[in-house]
Amino acid sequence: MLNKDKVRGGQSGAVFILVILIIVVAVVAVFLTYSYNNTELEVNNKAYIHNYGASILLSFLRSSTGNTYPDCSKVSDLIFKLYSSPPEGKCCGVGDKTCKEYVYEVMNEKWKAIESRLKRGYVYYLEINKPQSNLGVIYKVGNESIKEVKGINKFIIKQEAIPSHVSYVDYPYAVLYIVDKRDLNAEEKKI
Amino acid sequence: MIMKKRKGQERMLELIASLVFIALLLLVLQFFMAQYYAHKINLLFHETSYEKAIKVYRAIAGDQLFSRSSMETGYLDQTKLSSLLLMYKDENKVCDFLSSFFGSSIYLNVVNLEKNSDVDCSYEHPINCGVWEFCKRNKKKVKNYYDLYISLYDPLTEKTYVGYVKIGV
Repeated sequence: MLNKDKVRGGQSGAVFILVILIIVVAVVAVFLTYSYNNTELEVNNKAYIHNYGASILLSFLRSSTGNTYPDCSKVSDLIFKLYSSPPEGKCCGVGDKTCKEYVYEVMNEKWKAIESRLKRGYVYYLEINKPQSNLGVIYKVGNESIKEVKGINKFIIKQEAIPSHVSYVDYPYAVLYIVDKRDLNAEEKKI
Repeated sequence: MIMKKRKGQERMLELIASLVFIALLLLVLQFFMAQYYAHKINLLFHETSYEKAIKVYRAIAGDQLFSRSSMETGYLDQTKLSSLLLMYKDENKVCDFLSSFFGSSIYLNVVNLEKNSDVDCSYEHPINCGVWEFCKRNKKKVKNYYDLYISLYDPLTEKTYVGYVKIGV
C-alpha cells in the first residue's frame, strides 16, 4: 500500500515535469517562429530574385558585340537585326555567315559568360521574342521545360531589346524565366 | 509520524521544483517577448540588408562617382574603380572611403565576366585586369551577400561588358 502511494506520487511528479517541459518547448518554438518574421524575408527574397533577373537581362542587352559596323555595337542592336533581316540574309558586315548564325554566335558567347556566375539553386531559360504585334521566338537558351512549371517561386522578367539606332514603336523583347529547383523537382514528382 | 514528515518534505520539494519551472518559463517567455519586440522596432527604424544592398547597387551604377559620366546611367566605369585603388594606395584606406558612403560593414566584389575575369586589380596592376575586390577585411563582419549583374563600361576601349557584382552588407 505504502509502495503504491510512493510510485503514484513519483509518477504524478514526473508527468507534471513533463507537461511543464512540453509547455516550455512549445512557447520557445512559437516565439522563435514569430520573431524570425518569415513573411518579410520571403517578400525580400522575391524582390531580390526579380531584381537579380532584371540585372542579368539589362547587362546582357547593353553589352558590346565588338562589331564596329554601324548599328551593330550592342546585343540589343543585333536582336533588332535578327528580327528585321531576311532569314538567310547577311548583316553587320559579316560576309561568311548568315545574320542568324552571326547573332546566335555572339549571343551564345555572352550567355556563356553570364552562366558562369549564375546563382545555384535556380534554373534559367532566356527567350527573345518578336514584338508583341508579331509573336514568335527568335532565340532561346537554357532549360525550356521550366516555361511550363507552375511554382510559387517562378519568376518571369521581361525587358524590351531597344536598339540604339532606331526609334520604333514595337521592339523585340527578352524574357528570362527563373525557377527555384525545389519547385521544378516537385513538378517532376507530380508527373 | 516519520513517513508523514517524509511525504510532506517530498510534496514541498515537488512544489519548489514546479515553482522553479514556472519561474524559468516566465523568464524564457520574457526573453523571447523582448527579442520579438526589439526585432519589430528594428524593422521600423532600420532598412533590411536587402534594401541596403539595393541602395549600394543603385549608387555604384548611377552615381557619377562610380558610373560612366554621361546622360545614360547604369554603367559602372571600370577606370573609376581602378582609380580608387590608385588614389588611396592602401586597401584599408579605400575601404574607409567606401565605408563612409555605404556603412562600416560593406563588401564589394566586381568582376568583368568577358575580359580579364581572372586578373585581380590592384595599386600595382590597375589596368588590363577584371576583378575588383574592396573591403576584404569586412568579409567576416558581413551578414548577407547579394549577387547582381551590372554593365561595366571601359572608356579606354569604349566597350560595355557584362559584369557581376557581389555586395555584402
